Amino acid sequence: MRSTKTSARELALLAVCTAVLFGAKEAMALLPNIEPVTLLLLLYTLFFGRKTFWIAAVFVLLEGLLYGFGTWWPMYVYIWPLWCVVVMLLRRLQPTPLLWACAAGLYGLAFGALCLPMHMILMGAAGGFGWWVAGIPMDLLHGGGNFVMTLVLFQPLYRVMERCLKRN
Amino acid sequence: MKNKKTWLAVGVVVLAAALMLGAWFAFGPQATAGEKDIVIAVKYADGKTERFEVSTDAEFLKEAAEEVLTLEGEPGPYGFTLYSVNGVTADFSKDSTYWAVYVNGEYGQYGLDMQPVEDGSEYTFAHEKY
Repeated sequence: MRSTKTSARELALLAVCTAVLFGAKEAMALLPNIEPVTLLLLLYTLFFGRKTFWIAAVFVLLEGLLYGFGTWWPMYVYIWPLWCVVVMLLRRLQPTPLLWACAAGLYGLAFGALCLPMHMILMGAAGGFGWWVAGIPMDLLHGGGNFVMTLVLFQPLYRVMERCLKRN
Repeated sequence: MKNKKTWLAVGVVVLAAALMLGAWFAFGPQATAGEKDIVIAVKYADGKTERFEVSTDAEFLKEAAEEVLTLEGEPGPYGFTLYSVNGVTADFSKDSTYWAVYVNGEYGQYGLDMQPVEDGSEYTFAHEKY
């Protein structure tokens, strides 16, 4: 049975993973909508399960502290943990790397739509829809970036994480 | 079986991307050719407002606005990022100020170089603080 308690070692591991996630995201911040967060949270969820919610929570908090708690922030609060839930549900199907790439690609494509409820509250239904349409090129870039990055890096990063976690 | 599942997943991704592309072409910014009469207004931080009536052939707002305003900024992945209007700079990192663009009183959805110019519309550049 999997323990739900978090040991000091595990806590340190989660902190390192959070730092890697935050650092990688900022390192790639100049690339428009090409981000490593989807891939890394996917891997973390496969290895740490529900404990990944802690990583997502601290990451979202750090993003808020860095960029300010603007209107985008509440969307991050639900979008990243939701991705962890999606991964937890999908892993039962034991997807191949290509299937994971498809899932990550779809999540990237859906990013704007996932922000829609918040934008509809802020701008009304028509304004929110207009905002989503205006962002479609960015969503396409996001989905494409996620697909390619996951397809190329999922397996090597999975192996690296497996090796590191075994060693500890 | 697994192969079938994989191709189905790839198909879903391609279909979703194609539908979104279709939505972009159907509902995205659509420029119109020909002369348009528009109003361009600038609202400065001190409340002072300037208004210009412009007849333009420009299809997008940046080009139309540059007929009467001096704009400074740079192209970015989300469209043209506006830093200064008529020499008045907004620096979000310094004092949380920015240049907002309103189209007929509503917050603009597109970057300046993607915002279509429509006959009879009013475009306002407002110096705002977050």
